[in-house]
Amino acid sequence: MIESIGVMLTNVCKSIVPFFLSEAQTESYPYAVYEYTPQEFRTKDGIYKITADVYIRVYSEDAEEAEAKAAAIKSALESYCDSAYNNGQYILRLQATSETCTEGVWQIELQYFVKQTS
Amino acid sequence: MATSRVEGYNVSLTVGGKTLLGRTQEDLTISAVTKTSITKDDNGVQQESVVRHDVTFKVSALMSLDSETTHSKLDRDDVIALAVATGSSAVVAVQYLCSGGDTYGGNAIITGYSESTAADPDTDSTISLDLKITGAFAKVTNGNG
Repeated sequence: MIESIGVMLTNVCKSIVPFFLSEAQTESYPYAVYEYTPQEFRTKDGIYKITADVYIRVYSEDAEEAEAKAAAIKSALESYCDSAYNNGQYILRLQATSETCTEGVWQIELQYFVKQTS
Repeated sequence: MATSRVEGYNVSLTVGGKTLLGRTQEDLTISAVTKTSITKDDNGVQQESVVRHDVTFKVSALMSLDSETTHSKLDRDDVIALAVATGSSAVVAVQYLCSGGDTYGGNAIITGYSESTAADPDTDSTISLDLKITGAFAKVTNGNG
């Protein structure tokens, strides 16, 4: 099994908002960055699951826009996980959300627990 | 002289020619059974001699069911069937293989089986199997060829 949580997140979210790993590669808002540290679990025959706490942070200068983008990401991830295309490969559980504003830039953080099983 | 470290995944126990599906750990324990004796010639110091060895295995695995018709490995239901067998059916041939090392074999009985299942979806369900060698536990093949 090859870890592909980041690929899945990017494929689901990139059409909603510019979506980057760790650091934004744009200077315009809105955008989102994600961070995670995958942990592999093995049997003697190989990896059987990978889990990660995933942090997705949406940034915008407009609070309503940030909330709308975060809501769209939540909805898209839920839809993807319930879809036949996913077929149980990824299980996502939203664990926490938070909203902060620093120097006029709104940040909405979504914290997910993600399990990849194939 | 070159040495090599053995990775755990290169060690396996086969039970009836098959490994357990989803195995995560296999433990071998060899315990000497000793006899204590003392004669007047021992000047008060007890003597210990090894009379035999108890050889036991413990195998842990994820609780798994095999949908393959070939059943190339032992799944949870296969293991339970072995664990509840009685009489001569309860004796299984085992081989303990170590890649690059010697292979040992013998007959064993299953002395224990347990399952662990939790409501938490993040906790894996597991099974555990205890075996004890009956009779000889001998080298079958030499790892050095």
